[in-house]
Amino acid sequence: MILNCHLVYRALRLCCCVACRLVGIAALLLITKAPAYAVESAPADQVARGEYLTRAANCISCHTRDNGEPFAGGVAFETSFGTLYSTNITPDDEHGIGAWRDEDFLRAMHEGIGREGEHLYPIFPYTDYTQMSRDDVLAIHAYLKTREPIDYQPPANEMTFPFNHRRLLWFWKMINFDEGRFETAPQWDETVARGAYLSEALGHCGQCHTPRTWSQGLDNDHKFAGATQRGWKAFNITSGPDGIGNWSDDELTQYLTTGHVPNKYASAGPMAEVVTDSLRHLRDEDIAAMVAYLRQIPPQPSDVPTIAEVRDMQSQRRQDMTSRAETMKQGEQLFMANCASCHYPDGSGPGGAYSNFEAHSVVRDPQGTNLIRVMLEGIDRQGRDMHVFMPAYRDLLSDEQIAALANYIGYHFGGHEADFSAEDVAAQRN
Amino acid sequence: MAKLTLNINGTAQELDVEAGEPLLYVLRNGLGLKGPKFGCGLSECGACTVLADGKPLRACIVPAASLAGRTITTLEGLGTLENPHPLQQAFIDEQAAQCAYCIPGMIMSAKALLDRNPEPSDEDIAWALAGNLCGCGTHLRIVRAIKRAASTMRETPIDSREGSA
Amino acid sequence: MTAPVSRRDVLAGALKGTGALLVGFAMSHPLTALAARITDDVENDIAGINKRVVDGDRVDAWLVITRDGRMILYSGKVELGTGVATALRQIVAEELAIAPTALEFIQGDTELTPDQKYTAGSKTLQVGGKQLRRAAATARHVLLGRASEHLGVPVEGLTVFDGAVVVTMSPSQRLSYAELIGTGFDTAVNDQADTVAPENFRVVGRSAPRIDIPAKVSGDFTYVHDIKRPGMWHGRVVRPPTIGATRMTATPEHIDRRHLAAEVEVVVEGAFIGVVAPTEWGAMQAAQSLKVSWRYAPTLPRMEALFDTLEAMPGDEEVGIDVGDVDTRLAAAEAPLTATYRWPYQIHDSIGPSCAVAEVNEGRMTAWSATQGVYPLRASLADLLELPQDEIHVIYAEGAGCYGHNGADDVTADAALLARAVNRPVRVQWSRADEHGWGPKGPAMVMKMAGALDASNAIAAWTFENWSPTHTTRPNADDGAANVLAGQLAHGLTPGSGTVGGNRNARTLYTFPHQRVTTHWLSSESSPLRPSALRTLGAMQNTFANECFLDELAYAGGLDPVDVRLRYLNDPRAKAVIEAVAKRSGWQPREQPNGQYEASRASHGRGIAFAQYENECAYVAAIAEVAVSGQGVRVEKVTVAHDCGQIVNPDGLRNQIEGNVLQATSRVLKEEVGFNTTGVTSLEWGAYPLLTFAEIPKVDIVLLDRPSEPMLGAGEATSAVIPAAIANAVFDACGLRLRRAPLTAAELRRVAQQS
Repeated sequence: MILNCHLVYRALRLCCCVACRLVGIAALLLITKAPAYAVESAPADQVARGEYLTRAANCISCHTRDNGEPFAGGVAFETSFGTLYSTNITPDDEHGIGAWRDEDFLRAMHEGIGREGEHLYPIFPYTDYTQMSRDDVLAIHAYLKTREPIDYQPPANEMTFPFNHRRLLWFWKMINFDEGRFETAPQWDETVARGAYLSEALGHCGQCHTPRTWSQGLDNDHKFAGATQRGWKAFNITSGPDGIGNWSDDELTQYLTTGHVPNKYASAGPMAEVVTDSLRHLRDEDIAAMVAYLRQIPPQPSDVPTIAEVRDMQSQRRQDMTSRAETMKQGEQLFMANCASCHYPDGSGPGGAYSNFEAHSVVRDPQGTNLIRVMLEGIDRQGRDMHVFMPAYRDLLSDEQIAALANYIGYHFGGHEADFSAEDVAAQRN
Repeated sequence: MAKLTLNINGTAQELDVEAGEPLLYVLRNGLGLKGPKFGCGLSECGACTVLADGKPLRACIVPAASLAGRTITTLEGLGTLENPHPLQQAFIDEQAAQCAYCIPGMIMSAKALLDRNPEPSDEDIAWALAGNLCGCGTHLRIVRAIKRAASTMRETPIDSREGSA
Repeated sequence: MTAPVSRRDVLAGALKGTGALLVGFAMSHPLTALAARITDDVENDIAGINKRVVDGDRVDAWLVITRDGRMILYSGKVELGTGVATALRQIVAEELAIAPTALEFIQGDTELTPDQKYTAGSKTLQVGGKQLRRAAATARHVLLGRASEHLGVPVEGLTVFDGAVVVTMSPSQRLSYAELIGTGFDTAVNDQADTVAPENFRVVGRSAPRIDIPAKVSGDFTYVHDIKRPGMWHGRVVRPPTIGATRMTATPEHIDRRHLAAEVEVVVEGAFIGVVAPTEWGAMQAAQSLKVSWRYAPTLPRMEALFDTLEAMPGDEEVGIDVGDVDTRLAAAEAPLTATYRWPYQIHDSIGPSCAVAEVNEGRMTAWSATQGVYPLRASLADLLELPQDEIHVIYAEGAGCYGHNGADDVTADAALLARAVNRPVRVQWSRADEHGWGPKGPAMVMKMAGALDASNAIAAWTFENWSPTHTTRPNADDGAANVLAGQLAHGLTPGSGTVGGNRNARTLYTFPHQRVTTHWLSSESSPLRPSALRTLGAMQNTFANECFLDELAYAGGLDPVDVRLRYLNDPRAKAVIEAVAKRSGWQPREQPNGQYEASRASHGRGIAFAQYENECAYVAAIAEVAVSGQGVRVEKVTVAHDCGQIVNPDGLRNQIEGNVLQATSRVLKEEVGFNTTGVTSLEWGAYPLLTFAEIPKVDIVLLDRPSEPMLGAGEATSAVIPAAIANAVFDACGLRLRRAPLTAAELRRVAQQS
């Protein structure tokens, strides 16, 4: 099982932090691992297959900036060590990967090493892509080579010392990176294994949904337990009640392909990008495989209360919040004017995809991360059959007003009494 | 087309409504009301604001069929040219308009505010109008007009005025 | 619609004397209803007049007095929401000694009003008001002459008063205008006719409530959006993905009508594709349901490369001024300064997207439009529809706030094409995305400055260089269908080029002895997004650069920004507005910035800017007070001193100045059109935001009234100076020079990081 393998390797590594030994182990693993697992349902033609895989691996979301050309890069990733910019992966000779040979591309995807031999920052998820089969990587490369070359040079990274020294990444990789192709696990049937390959090697779900260790590696002991990335919370998607345990297969499928389940769940932020750019394009059987895979991820607890817990808290809550009555009134007024016409808070309207706030983790989460963030950023999501739009209120409402809304919504629908301030909202703005 | 009965400006109106048709088009095209305006269709600008059971509602986006049984008030339901509501009179007195396209929505949002807060501060007004945009830059006069109306309405309660909604 | 109080009542009130006259117009709104009348009614009501005279050389083109006493003013300049329908009445009322409310107002109609071209450029009072004043003065002289004949009293012994000519020494002897009018004035406008002397003004120069406001706040007013015609259907246009691009590359490859309701009609002319349905909601759904696959080529530069692209384009060079020996002085300077200022594409902030109604009767096209020029639009429509101009009747109806060439003309052409195709009246209402995406844009511009101080801290050299397309691609006879969007789509046309507006206020009023001002004119076609007139045209962009760079030189030399301006101005009216604004705002001289940038704490500053609009119109100086922190720029207060010569309606003027301040604040702080290489991507208010109530500054205004000077327009002048005043205040607050609009928090942090 893949999880156990990770643990074994980590233990080994802790015991013997000697580079040459690691290299030896890696070499050994390459030899001993099972043959790569390919996405069998993908079309045979290499470029068409590459297109499908490129979507499944969602290269486009991170490599396309606002108003930029597809795959031309330039998306800024703010990290605590500085700002990184995604690269141009169009086949432009000078600015893109036009001059890359297959072996260069393979080395980047499998080993996290650039064309000049430099270590790549792991914001590029080669830690997952390493599991992709050689054929799949080459198919992606073949597809990218058919794209329009774009002569755009993304800005240079702005990493603070000492993180601007790529050689340090060698240490990071030693701790956090297992080079090697995907392996199935004995207890997985073919569907689960396919789901695992799609979710891990391609979809790299863990990059957002799995918490990080002290060294910013993935903490796979708490796989998919939820984490905050790029200012958005990726919620717990493990199989227990704090995760997706109470979702039906139909709901999961609908969520992954359309981005929402009316009156229950709705995606925003990076997950909406994943639906728009990746998941909605996947075949039903692949989505079903991913659902099957998620179903067997061990349950993890969550800091977001369930609907039942929220109702319980609400029933026990004191009647009013005298000290905050004024801001609650302001929040309600703002809500009525700005939100209620689409969101029908009292449930008397048709609601569509937008009502029943308590069902949304975003609303129940006492940290309010996504609640504030979705008001700032809005939603612009294309599902399989429906486009969903919510305006970005970052320039239409002030920090104070968004905080008041978050407080009102959190209190009335989310059951919590978080007291967000204008500063909290300001901190969420880029 | 389906039949729908709505109480609009104090009169029960039987209306033909298409599936999903927002209230705005029913009001403007079905009833010939000119107060509610089309501005964005996304609930961003507030030009279409009407009151549903006294609370502001963006008519451009709410399907009329979802409002069965509600009481709708538009600008026309406040006062008339001959007998304007204190809010309308205050907008005249303060000359609080340039193109005035946004003003009906401003007045309706202000009505909802004054109903719950008869003595609003400038900040209260700014918050009540957070969902109303003005392109001409009439904001300062709009705020003054609402304060003036609040003052008039405190001195002469609305119930004692003849013919007001 | 019926007026609740008859016009006669008001006239009767006015007849009681001067006091009553003023009271009469203070309670003006009863006549509002008349203003909104459909012109057909007026035409039919006027006894004895079958065919209107629209030749502006004739008094009858401007003014009709009917034998039953109605007085009607015909204006080719139209009410765009600025209050000119009231101010123009005031001007005419003054000459005729009547209450402004006694005048009915007919505007913008190719069969009823004189051709005054466009209502634009702050020229309605400055030019249109002057024309009307002369026409009304001529009318007064005609009436006086006729009365003199009838009464046997010399003109010198007569007075006009309250709608009648009165024998001065024997006021009971009088003849009303209606009694004197006969079949009209039947005379040419006399440009030399004596007008009422400013010292005798009773109407002009006093605040008059706007006559249109009551109906606008009651819901009775008819905007173009509210016009209904019998049998009218609703149309929408389905346009290609190349949203807002100047160059039309798109052609439809496949049109899939399968999902349309049966009654929907589809109209295709080239790349112009429209749907027409019996109901508005039906038309909206049809526009969504019609699936068109387009072939197109991306023509736009990357957004981040926009300014470099503009600067690299070939353009005709125009030297506005070149005096002294600039190059030698710059070369000799110890520390010359250079700076590049950049201004993005901006849209019109009209809250109501454009709308129009058109219908064809027996081959004649009638269109109701919020156009700024009924005659020029008629010329473009004639070309588009291949009809003679006199087969087209364009009638102005007010739209939402108009700040220049927005979608009003385009939507009229849309409606005309669709109405002709389906042979019924069609109303087209643009969506918010249509207006944001396809409406003409205020052009992006680059302004490069260089300058230097000499040893005595005098400005030794000054150069200005900018890159701009023309700022007007409005409908007109020469460019015809090319200057309406429907023509561009249907026939693959690109808007005509020209050289308007890009050099507006490029040259300053400052008397620098060594200066050069150059404009590089880019063709319309080379402007990535479709350029046209947006409030101030290039004056906002150019004044932003000029007034900020003067500030840069001032601080570089330790000179007070107010002093340095006064030092290089000769015109006393220019100096007067600067002195007035400095005094009113309590300006303290400064030689270095007041504060330093701190992300976590607000620092405060003040900045000044001055301009004479178009170098020959209104004088404006503004001082902005701002607070700056990592959260961005907050404008706290703006003080304006304003001299537009003779003031007609002081409160109306204040309303305009306030609007200019707030809109310009919005433009400089928040507004920028987003686009990718295919088209515009900021298609709603969340992506292209306006100033909100939480962000409005206080505004304090000093009006410098000069009743003996000509009227100068006030619709735009203030907008030109606000961005520079704010950017200069930001520098004073925190020592950071923001040269790239909009001055967002992100831009501020970017500059802070680089410094």
